[in-house]
Amino acid sequence: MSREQLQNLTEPMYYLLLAMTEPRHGYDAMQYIRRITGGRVRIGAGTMYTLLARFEKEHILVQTAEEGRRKIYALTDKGRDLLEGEITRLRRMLEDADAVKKEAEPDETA
Amino acid sequence: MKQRERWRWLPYRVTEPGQLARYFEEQAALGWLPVRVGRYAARFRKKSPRRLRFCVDFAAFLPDSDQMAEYRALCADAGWRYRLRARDGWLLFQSRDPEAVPLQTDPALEAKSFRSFYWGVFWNRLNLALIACLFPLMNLGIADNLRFVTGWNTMAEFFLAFLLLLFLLFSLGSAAAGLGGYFRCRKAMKAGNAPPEAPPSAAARRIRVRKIFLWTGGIALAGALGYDIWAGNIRPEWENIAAVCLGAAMLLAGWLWVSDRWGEGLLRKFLLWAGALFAAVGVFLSYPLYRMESAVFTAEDPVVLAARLLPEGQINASSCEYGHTPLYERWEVDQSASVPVSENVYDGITVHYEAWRAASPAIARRILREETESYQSIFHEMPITPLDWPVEEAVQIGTVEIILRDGGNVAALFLGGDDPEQYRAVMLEAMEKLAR
Repeated sequence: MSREQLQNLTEPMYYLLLAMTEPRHGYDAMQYIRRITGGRVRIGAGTMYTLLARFEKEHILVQTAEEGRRKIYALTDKGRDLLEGEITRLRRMLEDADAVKKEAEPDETA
Repeated sequence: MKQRERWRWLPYRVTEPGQLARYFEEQAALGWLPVRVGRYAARFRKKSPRRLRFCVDFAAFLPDSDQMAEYRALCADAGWRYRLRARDGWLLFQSRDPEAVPLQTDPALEAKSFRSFYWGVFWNRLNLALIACLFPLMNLGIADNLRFVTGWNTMAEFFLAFLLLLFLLFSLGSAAAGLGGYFRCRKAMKAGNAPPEAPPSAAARRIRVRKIFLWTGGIALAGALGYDIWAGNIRPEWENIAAVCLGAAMLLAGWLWVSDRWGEGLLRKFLLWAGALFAAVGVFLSYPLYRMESAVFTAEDPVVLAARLLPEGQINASSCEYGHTPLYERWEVDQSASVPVSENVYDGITVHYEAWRAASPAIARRILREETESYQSIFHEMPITPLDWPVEEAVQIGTVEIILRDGGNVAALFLGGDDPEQYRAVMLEAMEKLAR
């Protein structure tokens, strides 16, 4: 997976990066994502494992410790850049949306 | 006896993962949990009925790898217990929690792992079919090898060719049908939809087709084996090996049946049926072959009688054995040992006389057939005319030879262009004496 391909993260990817701002293992991340999204985003174990493996391969995540069979991961600098870039992109998208909505609203002072 | 394990045909393919999972859920509700899953059938073990959710997963890990252990641990944390790995490599998970999040929640990732899983299986299957195609093309010698084992051309050769064709048809048909299902399934997965489901009639048809192929193969095997034994195509030692193998299979199946380890398994059924078939065909038809004794000619035999045709002829005797089993004794009368038989001339007639005393009618049938076939292989147009003589078989080969068989005795006379009726009396007398 190239850097360019990761420029637009999918929702599970985005929330996984968000969860990994603190070191966590896979299941912990799944529960965290569920909690912060109020159950709207639920990542299955299969999807989570695939994403963890991909991100580790792309040096976006790094394994920091191991608890039995569970591996603890954390974001690398590359991962933090990617997340910051995505947050900026999403913020701009919201700003663009707000600007468009404002333009569309009828001018009440007129 | 309480049934503890059983085999069932799988009505759904791996390209219908949702239906496949639901099928396992239905079985679990009836108290049958899968313990081994193949491509076409699955083995279930009896447990108490329970409500379980199943999930078919296409993660590609080696069974004993660290990755697999990690994956299983993560799935277990999420409420999915690893159940088994199917023969094709996909994984089956189960959960007691009706609210457990499905293992795959990203359709794009699921479609990708499904694609890499499916093509691996597909190429394996196709390779097998291609290898099967190469056997006859490269003449790698299935027939030759078998001929080496059995010694003669057998129906089993045709059976093998037939089985190969059957296998090929089934593999290609199955691969083609699976391929269509794969594209439909992947398309649905990529779109985030549930994979398309097979209608109940299609599931029933699949099972019917598998049964037809299985029964056709079995009947062809039984037919080929029965015919070979009847025609004397199979040598005793070959049967001996088959007897040992099938006997062992019968014993094993019987023991497993007694110890109730196999329930009503397909394999047990197959072994029992194969064993019973061998008992019926093998023992009743071929057992006399093991009890054969040397067939010795005496002074009363027609070879001596034939000396009337060749008063200056010499009697040459030979015998044929396989292992310790005598197959036949062959006596031949010709005029001079130093002169080729076909050139012996008596009173202007080329005469050559042969007699076989075979150890069984099956071997005698084979001798007669080999004699006629050897002529036909050289003279393709030579007619084989049945003679209406009071023996079990009597044929005239062109104007060259007459061959008679009665029971385990065979007699042949080289005509050299004569009318066979001229020798009718002396040949029938010869057969009569052979039969004593």
